[in-house]
Amino acid sequence: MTEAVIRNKPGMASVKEMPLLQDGPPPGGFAPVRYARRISNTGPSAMAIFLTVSGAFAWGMYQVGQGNKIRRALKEEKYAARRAILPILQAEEDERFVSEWKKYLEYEADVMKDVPGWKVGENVYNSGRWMPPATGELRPDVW
Amino acid sequence: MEANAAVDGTGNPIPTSAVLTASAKHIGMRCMPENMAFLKCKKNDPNPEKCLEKGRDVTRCVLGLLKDLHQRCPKEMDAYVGCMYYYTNEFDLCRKEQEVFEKACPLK
Repeated sequence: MTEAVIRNKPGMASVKEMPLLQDGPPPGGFAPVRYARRISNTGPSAMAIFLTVSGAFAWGMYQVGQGNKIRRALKEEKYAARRAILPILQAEEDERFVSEWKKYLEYEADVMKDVPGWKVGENVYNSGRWMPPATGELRPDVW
Repeated sequence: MEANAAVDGTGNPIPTSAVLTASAKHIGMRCMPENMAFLKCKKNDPNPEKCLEKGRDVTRCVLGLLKDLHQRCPKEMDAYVGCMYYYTNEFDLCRKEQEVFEKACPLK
């Protein structure tokens, strides 16, 4: 029923006389549409592009090298500072260790005084080199 | 005593990490003989009891150098040490204070 209402032609006798309602082109047709490729041949040549890109790459790598030089200098400065203050830190730690070790040897002698044949202190290894104490009992706060 | 103070109550510089890294270039230049002797002794024998004397030389040299630096340019050294403490011993972040410090107490 609605189709007859929409496409009504005044004076129409039956539904079969309804005019066509179509979406079509405007009178005279549409304007022509270009679909042919138009890729121009102007612009830089292949060699020009290649040289530009490799030039940019080379300049970038040169900047990387310069930056690495600067970073290496900064790291060298840091390491040189650490090398300079290593001896004083080691010397202070040696003093602390020696006093702590002496106390420990006295404690060992006191504990083992009734054991026959016990040589107090330094009965650790046979290689002759000095090794730091292996158990963690001297520095319980660290270990 | 705040943690970033460079000196203790009697005016002696405390060898904290900030103070030591701030004066590391001076230490490396002025206490080089004692440092080298101590390191050679350590390389020979790592036993701490054998290198105590050389260690005492190193400590005496470095602490004396710190005291001398602090007496010659206290404000610049305090500023540099404070900057080092703030930036955890990062040299690149304290360039301004480093320049001021090295102008006042030159490396020689």
